[in-house]
Amino acid sequence: MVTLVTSDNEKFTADKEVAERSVLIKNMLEDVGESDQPIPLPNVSSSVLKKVLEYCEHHRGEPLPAADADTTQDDTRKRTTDISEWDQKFITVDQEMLFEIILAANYLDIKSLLDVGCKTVANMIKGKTPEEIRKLFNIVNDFTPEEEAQIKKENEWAEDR
Amino acid sequence: MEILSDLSDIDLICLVFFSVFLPNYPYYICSILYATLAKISELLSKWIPWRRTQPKFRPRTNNVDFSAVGRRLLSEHGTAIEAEEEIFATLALIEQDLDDCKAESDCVQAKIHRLQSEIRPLHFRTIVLEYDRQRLERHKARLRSLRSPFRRLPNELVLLIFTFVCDMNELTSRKLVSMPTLNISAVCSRWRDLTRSSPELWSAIRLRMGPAPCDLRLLDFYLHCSQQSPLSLEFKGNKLETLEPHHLANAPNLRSLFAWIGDVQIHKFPWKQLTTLVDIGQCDAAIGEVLERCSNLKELHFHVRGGMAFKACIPPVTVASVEKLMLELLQSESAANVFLESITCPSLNSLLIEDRSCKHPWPKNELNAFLSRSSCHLTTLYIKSMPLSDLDLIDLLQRIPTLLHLTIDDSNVPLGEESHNAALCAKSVRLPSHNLRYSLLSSVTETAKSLPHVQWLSLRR
Repeated sequence: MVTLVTSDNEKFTADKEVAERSVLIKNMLEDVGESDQPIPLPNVSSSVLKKVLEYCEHHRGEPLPAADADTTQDDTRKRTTDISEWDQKFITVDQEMLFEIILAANYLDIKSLLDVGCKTVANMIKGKTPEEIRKLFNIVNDFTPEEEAQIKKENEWAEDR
Repeated sequence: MEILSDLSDIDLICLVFFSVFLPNYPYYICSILYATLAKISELLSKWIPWRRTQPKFRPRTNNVDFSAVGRRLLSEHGTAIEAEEEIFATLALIEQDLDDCKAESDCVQAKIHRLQSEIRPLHFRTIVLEYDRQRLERHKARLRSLRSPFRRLPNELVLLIFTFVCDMNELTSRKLVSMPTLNISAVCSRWRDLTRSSPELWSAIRLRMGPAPCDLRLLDFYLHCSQQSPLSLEFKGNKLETLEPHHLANAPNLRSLFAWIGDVQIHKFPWKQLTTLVDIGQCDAAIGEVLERCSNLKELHFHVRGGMAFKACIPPVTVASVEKLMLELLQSESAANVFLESITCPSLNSLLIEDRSCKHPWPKNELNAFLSRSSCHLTTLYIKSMPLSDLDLIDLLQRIPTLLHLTIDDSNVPLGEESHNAALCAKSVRLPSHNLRYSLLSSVTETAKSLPHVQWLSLRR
């Protein structure tokens, strides 16, 4: 068992196999060797770590991606935004939590969870107009009048601009 | 503001005075003070014309019968004239009424003038207030945007999301949402900077060429933005030659082509650039000639639809560089056989065969001949929706001792088919030699023993 300590000082215990789905934790455990020392995770809050461990528990035993996987741009392009049914249900959280999970997956180096999070955000963006995207993510239109004019010119052919 | 404008000056003075100085005094004391101040104000208003805000003019001659005066004008002549004192008295009253009327009229005029002079600054004030309101709304939106969870993502994660968003840009759709890269570059300056500095986001392009002429200026724009990034071009329609030679000259990094090969002008197309070729349904001498020209091809996807004519290339074409081969069959019973007979892939390490119609017989002899001819070191095998019997599977696996990853998914194959694999009832199995997680039925386990290197085995039905 591995003990993890979150940014809000809450302790979680998890099977080593589950915790090691995080490359960061795996490397830390390899570095410190056999030890009962709790692993501090200063960038992850307890509510987020709870979700992350739920994901790792569900996917325990599945093969981890190779370290050099997906490094080529061609591979990157071929990604799809398909998400399995369980993962979809798992990632159905509010926007705040969704982005926290993405940041935690990135920090903990859990590639499959990072992909699920990023695909979810990508699916939220797809099919929406720029104004709808701004509204969805609370993004301000900060273009200068010149940039606005340039964008208008770029998109003048579009039927749905 | 409307309520305040209806109050008299004394009301306003009292309101301010009581609120500031006597907030806790009893109501009756405030009432006495209010009445006193109101009386003073009334007295003052008699001496200061503009302060007389209420109508004061009451004609003293209201009870004079002017119609009787008219009748008297018609009837009183000469000696008939009488009562001059009464006329003088009435005239004096009218004079006084006229004076009062004029005084109040002057007062009203003065008030109108004063109000007009007040309206101008008030109007200006509304403009200033509206400007402030808009400025505050903008400020509020920016502050809220600063708290947006999306802002917390570093650029590399935003770009990862964009990679998923911009998986394909349909340049002939005339819809902005079908061109995600261009679409998201119009959201905000950060997203625009990120998309413009990421050529790979502009390099997945789909063109659907219909009979009508097509404006390809957008293609030029995308090619410009994709810079040196390897280009993936998906082409549907029958006018691929429209792109030649101008656009292809702007696409030196074209690496992937999805197209109906038969419609490409073979001699003009830069086949040598391609690393991925997805053909959507042809197998004859033309595809053989194309494959010979694709000397850098790494991936070959072959999508076979029904109703197409297939003719094996004899002798088979050797595609020396191909490492990954995908055969996707749909409503065609002989295409897989013809295709497997037509090529040799000595560098192949990954093979995927999927029958979307679930009707194609297992091409046992053709596949065995292909593997034998290619002498390749196959490490990944994925078979989906093919009616594959246990014996055929065992036979196949014994021919591929180099296999590391095996996936067989016959969940779509109808029950009762000859292929029914009674032994393959495990759902998803990981089977590294040192990490056996689930127990398997004997035949598969025995088969697995003949695959000493297998690390991943997934069986679905």
